[in-house]
Amino acid sequence: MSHASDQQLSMFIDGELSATSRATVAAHLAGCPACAERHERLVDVAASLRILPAVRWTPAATAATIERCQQPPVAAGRVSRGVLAALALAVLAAAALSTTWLSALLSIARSAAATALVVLPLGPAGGAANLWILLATAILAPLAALTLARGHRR
Amino acid sequence: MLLARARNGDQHAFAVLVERYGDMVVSLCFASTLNTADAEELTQDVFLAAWRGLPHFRGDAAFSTWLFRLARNACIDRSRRNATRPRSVAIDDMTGAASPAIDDAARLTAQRIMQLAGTLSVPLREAVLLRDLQGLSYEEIAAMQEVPIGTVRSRIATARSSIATALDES
Repeated sequence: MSHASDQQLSMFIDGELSATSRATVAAHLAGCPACAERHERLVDVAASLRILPAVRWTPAATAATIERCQQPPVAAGRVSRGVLAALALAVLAAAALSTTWLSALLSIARSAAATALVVLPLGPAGGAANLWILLATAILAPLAALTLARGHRR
Repeated sequence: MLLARARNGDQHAFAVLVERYGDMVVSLCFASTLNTADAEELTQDVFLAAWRGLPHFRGDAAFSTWLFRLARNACIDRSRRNATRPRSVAIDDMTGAASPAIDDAARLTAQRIMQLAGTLSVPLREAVLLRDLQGLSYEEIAAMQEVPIGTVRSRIATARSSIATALDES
């Protein structure tokens, strides 16, 4: 037998070799100082971990888990940014379809205010995203209104 | 019968399943997180997901297979969140709970090996910790990692070899 591989030595340590293979490795270790040394190193790794206490699941942990299972799922507290953006655009698109451009601007202003009232109360966690949506609305909506108004006059 | 009752909302039946598989799931979660508190919290999350997903469990695979898959995915999600928001991973100092008959040198070596295990890839770390720390059999590890036993043998050997080499070099 050539030198034993780390996998053979590891399986030897764990009793995972067949009886024949186990006898072969054992005989080799008895006559090969290098493999015997490597075997000892691997034994040390396994043995060192085995002196540490295993992590165990406790009855208290089961009880805590069941208690959590009894709680109703937490309702989604935040509307997704995509839904917000779609709502904002839909409201503004409706406003931009007004027949005069002043009326369109007023509608947009009302829509922006309404969007802000919907968006801002969602809390600080969504605050940055909400501000971006509002800013995009403020920039895009007048452009949309102007374009539609010009198109309506032709 | 137990699973059928749990699927019908019987929490007592589900509690039995939690007791039955709790050790294995927390073992897997600890091998991933290397932190007992995180592992217990993650295990609770896994069982909560299992409870809520039970009505949709079709039984195509064994319940244990499905549960371990939930656990592995939870561990992957947790490690990804930790990767994007790096925080210091508190590897448990487990030497304090080791037997008082163990000398200080052995304790230090054991702690050093735990730290080195933390540097391994998750599949290797899981395999060697599930075997040497948690005492699971090769068959149990293969079921938990959903790989052939030969892969488990290879992973354990590679992990021990890497740790042994790193110890020699330090």
